[in-house]
Amino acid sequence: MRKLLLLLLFLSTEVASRPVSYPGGWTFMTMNDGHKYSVHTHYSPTANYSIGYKGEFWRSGDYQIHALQINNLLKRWNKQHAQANIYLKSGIGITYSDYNSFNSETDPVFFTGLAADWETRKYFISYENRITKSNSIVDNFRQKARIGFSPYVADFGNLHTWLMLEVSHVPEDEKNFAYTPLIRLFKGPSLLETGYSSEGKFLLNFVHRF
Amino acid sequence: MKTFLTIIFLTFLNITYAVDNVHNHDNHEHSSSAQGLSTGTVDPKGGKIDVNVFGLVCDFCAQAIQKVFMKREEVSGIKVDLSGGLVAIYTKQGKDIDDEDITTLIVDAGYNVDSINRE
Repeated sequence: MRKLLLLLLFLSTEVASRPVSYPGGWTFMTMNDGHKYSVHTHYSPTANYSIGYKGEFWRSGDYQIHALQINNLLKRWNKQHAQANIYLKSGIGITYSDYNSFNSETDPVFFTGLAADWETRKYFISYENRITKSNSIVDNFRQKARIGFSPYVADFGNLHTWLMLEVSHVPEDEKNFAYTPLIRLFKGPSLLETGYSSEGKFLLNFVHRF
Repeated sequence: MKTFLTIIFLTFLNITYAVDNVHNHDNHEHSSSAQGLSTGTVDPKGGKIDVNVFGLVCDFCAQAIQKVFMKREEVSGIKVDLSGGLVAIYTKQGKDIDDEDITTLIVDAGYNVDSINRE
């Protein structure tokens, strides 16, 4: 099992929000969706993988993850007016919690997941999942999907606006499905998303590519 | 909830503004001094290479193309047309990039070349 996990790590990737940039590109992301707040910054030596730091602060469970994350582009389809991708995103690091019986406990943690997306200049579909496992603090599976459209098509450098619906599924939660209508504003190297979920939580994501 | 509705309202205004200001090329042409480059400049004595590229769907794609070509000393400017899937490479006087190098740069950036045309 350990060998399999190590193998997955080195094959690993990250999906949604374009987890791999152009050769020599840096990306900074911050995501806040009610379950967690995360920061991820990565460097892409080639257009096929990126490597970087991922920090997550989970509200439910009150634990943190600090990890080295590798995102691999497994497959890309480039069409005249469309692009589709499959990524593997994985990380290894430590998790920390002082919640309930955890007395400032620190655990090694591993996560991996697949992500896929298809996008034209007007339509967008994506799916991603992730398994996260540590010795005692974290053991969960999560998945989410998105569908969206752009009400108008703008040139490069102008403001792009997307309206999307995100459905997330967390089997361990009492209400295990959540629905988040959101707005994505995209201009040049920056992307901002905001939404409000069926659980009454705000979503606020920001991505900047250098 | 009130904050969210405010964000929705402001975004709607934003969309309305953006739709009103989407650039329309049907009824006019740009002068050579204002060709709407994505970055850089046009060297009047340089060349222009048009490349049809597959997979250009967003500003991150356009930014990637722009960054990799502007690192080349032969290039003075770049224009990326996402709707047409077209990349216009403006070269400096007396400089050129061969088709093989252009294809390598675009493929290494994560996209595919359909055709290359020179003026």
